[in-house]
Amino acid sequence: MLTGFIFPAFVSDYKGDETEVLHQFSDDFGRLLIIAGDHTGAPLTSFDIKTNNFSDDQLKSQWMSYVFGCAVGDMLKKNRIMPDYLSGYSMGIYSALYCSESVTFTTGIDLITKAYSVIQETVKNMNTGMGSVVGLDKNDILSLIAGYPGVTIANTNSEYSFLLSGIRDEISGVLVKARLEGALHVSLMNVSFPYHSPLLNEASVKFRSFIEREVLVKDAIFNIVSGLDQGIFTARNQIIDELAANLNQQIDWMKTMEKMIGLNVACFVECGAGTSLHKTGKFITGDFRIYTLGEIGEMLW
Amino acid sequence: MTVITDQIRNDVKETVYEFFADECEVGIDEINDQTNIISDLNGDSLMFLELIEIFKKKYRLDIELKTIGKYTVKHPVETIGELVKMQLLIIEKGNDILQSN
Repeated sequence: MLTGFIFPAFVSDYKGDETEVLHQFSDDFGRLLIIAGDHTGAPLTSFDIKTNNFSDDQLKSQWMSYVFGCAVGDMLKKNRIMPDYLSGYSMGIYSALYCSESVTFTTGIDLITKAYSVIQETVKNMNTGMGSVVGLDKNDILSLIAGYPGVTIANTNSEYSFLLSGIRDEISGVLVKARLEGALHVSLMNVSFPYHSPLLNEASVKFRSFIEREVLVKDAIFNIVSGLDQGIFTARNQIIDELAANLNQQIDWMKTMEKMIGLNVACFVECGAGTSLHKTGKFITGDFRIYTLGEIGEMLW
Repeated sequence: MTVITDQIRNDVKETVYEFFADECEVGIDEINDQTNIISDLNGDSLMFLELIEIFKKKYRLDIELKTIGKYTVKHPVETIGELVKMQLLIIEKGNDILQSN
């Protein structure tokens, strides 16, 4: 039975017990949080998981998600649980790369910070965002967005769950129509950047240039499955391609999971806070289990 | 059309209650028909979707998700009781649920 580590994107729904669970098994979270706080100059140790006091600060939220992802990966590796494959959901790629020793912990933080900065600069004169649609299939979504040039599919979570990205007003228009078309649920997400959208083409170019000039990226020690095209890679140049494209190209999480399942991964570990990937996984066909942080004890003992 | 028996009624209610107790990690005695799925249980749309799929399999229902979605536009489902009522209507009427008042 093969093992896959899957790293979530920034977390909006913490269970509330993540830090307690991590502390039971290691001091990695506390240690990494202090390093991250020192490196960013932000008061990250003031993070309150019960209230999620960073929820309105996208960058801090991303740093926190990264710290959680890295801490879980470290904890598993210390307990000799190694992935046969790993993959990052959207910005989960940064903690995936840290886990596969392609980048150092602080380099990962720098990548997140730089990505945020180039995106912010790119969309400064646009009103952008993302939305979620549950209950329609891909053909329905494509029909709906056909009349909205500023909206694209950012991610396919499963057969009936999609994220959209683009111009905020247009997304709102699509969501209204989606609901009337029969979507079970639609929502505007609490993000202001259009991740995985062609609106970030310029940001992607700048980000690549930054990485090539200033960032030490090494070959990965574990096989990484691309969230974009489900290719498998470890080489430095491929990692840089993935990092840059991760900003402006759509991801297909459903296909990524199906790829790993097809490669005989039956045991996945959601390496991070929250349970978003576990929930999404319920709608993906296959014989597998996704362990969340709260269930990792079962794996370790 | 399926006739809704007391057995079906009880089964649906039990399934819904147990599902949310398990998913939301609350005691089943903390749930009643007035419990708000979002604000009281922190439930989400994926749970809703999952529950629909459970009933579709269990009762071999041939109903489109979009039909259910359109029903909820006119009849918002916010509480456990409203969800149970909707599930019973789905079992009873299938795709004709939109003709219900």
